[in-house]
Amino acid sequence: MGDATDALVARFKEIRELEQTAYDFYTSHIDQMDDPKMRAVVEAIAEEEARHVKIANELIALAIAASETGVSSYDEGGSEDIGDALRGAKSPFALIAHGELSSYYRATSSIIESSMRMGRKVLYLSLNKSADRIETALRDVGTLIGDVTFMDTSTTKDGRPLDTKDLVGLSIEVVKALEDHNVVIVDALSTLSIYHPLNDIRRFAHNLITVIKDREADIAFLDLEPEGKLSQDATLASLMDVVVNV
Amino acid sequence: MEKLELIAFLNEAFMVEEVEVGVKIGALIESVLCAPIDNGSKKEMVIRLKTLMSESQYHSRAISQLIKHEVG
Repeated sequence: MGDATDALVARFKEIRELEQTAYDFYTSHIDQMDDPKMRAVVEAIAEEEARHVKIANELIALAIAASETGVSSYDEGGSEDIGDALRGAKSPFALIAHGELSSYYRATSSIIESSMRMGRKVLYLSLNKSADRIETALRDVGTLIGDVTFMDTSTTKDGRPLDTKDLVGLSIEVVKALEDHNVVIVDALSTLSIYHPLNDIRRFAHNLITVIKDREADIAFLDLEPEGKLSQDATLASLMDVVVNV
Repeated sequence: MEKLELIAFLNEAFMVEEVEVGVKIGALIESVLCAPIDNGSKKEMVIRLKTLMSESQYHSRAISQLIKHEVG
């Protein structure tokens, strides 16, 4: 991140802390109030402080997005809600989420939190950013990370770097890392389109879906080029149980 | 809660809303407007900061009324 956006993130975190402190301060006194009118006012203020914490999280996400992607917003609304789509999906399933970079944190948070609510253990494979950076950024925007395992192309279990140009090797490493996880998130399939033609990506997705589902696990692919070839491809869509545009 | 305790609580709440949150957010809006980031991000940030600021001002007014009620 740049110095300017680093500073903004730090100051937005201060605001979040202040709002959280205010919320705690109000809620810790509500029970001691005898006057029902005063109590109602303080309860209403406390509710707004809780919403302010969420707004502060959005500000942090905006600052991170501005520095990492140059895009203009943390998109808080989308044409489809991943949480809703996942609630209707029966495991094991394959999902692909097409979305702008600006919807990245919302989409990712939604998949992680929905999976955790279903009691599933998540393996997050980042093909384009460091695992530490992704984990920190997701925590900063308030995602409930739980015991998600983050893996990037340089943090494989045996220390060998993953080669995004070798799709077969990549599939093998993902399956090796699966172990007791029930959900794999691949961030992002669109990264592979830098190196590989569409048909190779279809084949990679098909192989991985087959093996992952065979192990009773779910797989979610992110695609960060909503107008790109992956989102237009009917064959790729046909491999998925759930297709969402976020 | 005793009356004095209540007034102390309301006074502290007023200071938090008015000074800490209000002043800090006001200064932050200036920093965002001057930051070397794209205008779309600035706009989204300022919208949210103004929401925080106006609601904090509303809180301090509401608390101020409660203080007046208790003291008066």
